Amino acid sequence: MNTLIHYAPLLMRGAGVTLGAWLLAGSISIALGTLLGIVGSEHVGSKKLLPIVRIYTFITKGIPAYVQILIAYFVIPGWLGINVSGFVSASCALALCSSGYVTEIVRSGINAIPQGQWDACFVLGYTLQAAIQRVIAPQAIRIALPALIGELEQLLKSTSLLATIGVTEVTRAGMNIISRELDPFPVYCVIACIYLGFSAILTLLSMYANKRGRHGYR
Amino acid sequence: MVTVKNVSIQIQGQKIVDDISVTITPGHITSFIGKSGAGKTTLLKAIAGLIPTTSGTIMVNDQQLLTLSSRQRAEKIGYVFQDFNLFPHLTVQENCIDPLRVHGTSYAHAQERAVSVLLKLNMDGYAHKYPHELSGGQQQRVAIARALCLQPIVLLLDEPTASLDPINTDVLVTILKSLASQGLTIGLSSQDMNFVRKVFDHVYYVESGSIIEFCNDSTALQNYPAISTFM
Repeated sequence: MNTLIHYAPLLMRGAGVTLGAWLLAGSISIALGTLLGIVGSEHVGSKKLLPIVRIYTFITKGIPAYVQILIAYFVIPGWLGINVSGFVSASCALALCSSGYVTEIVRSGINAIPQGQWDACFVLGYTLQAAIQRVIAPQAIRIALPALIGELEQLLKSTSLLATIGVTEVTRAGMNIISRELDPFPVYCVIACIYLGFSAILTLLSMYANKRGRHGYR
Repeated sequence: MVTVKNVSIQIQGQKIVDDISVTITPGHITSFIGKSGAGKTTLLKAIAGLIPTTSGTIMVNDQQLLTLSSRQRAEKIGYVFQDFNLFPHLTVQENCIDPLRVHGTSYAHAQERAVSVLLKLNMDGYAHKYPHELSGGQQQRVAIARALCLQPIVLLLDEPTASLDPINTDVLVTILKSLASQGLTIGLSSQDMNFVRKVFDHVYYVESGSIIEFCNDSTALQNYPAISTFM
């Protein structure tokens, strides 16, 4: 117990880094994935853009997150001649990796909306943007939400990969403490609880969103 | 008035509508009857702009359908789908208000119009219900209300009685006759001959994408063998 109290600030700092990486990667992933998912859907996508979206998702889903982090940290900054912190490059790599999955989730959510809804928008004079914003997206989000939450949970757990390039997120902070104190059990328990806490917040948010989005459905 | 002149429609190499010319006149209910796959729905969808024509012209009050913007088209032609296609995440009132908002109407004005149209169709008591909470007949009246809120000059209905019981069919007959008497141009496709008999006004018999017969006199049906046999 004394160990935990002593090292609590270190663990909290690590948890902050984990949360930051999760929020940064999650925001980029959702924004990019939603855009590409819309562009890549059957009703919206142009024939020229669809193959590009397919190739993008194939690459980002096909390469392991760990490898993408290594490329983002060790290769790309060198190519571009810029200096990027491990936190930023690894978060961006996780975002790209996750965005491939988000693209597929959003795309399948939009494709699941019956043709009749698009037709109704058409005969009522909706522009494409209005149709997506007011009719298609609210229904597609409801369909895609469980899978999106699952992807964000996966992303949270993937933030532990930041440790591999020396970013002191919560897992790495815990490992540092264990290497000094040689008492792994309580530290791992606290790390697990921190991840569970973040997951619980996400679950609560998803339950709230699900409840709000249930209006109008059986 | 809707004037369809020599319209043909080909879908994936197959001719669905073949050189059809029809007129849907204001103040009348024009029914397109015929067997499944005759091309009735395709013709109605083409008039609503949902399906492109291969050749021929469609005029709405002397204006070519193709020259209308999507907003102008929606304000001229209302379309009620066979399965209504109401927006499930919106209430009855919101279903009526939303298209008006998209067309730039203020919320207060849109709400006022939605309330008055719903009242006309006896659906004012269901304004805050969601589509899944309504019966088929009620959903259809909402779909009609949604179309009427845009104050179209033409109302098209695809198989309007397909999911209605006899009581709701009679309610629909009353509504359509009342709308036609107010000068609305109404066109519909149907295979329900009991219903067509009740709204008999102008009837086109469609077969294999062509108009076989046109009758506007229910007392002289014996002169129209295709229509009388079908009915």
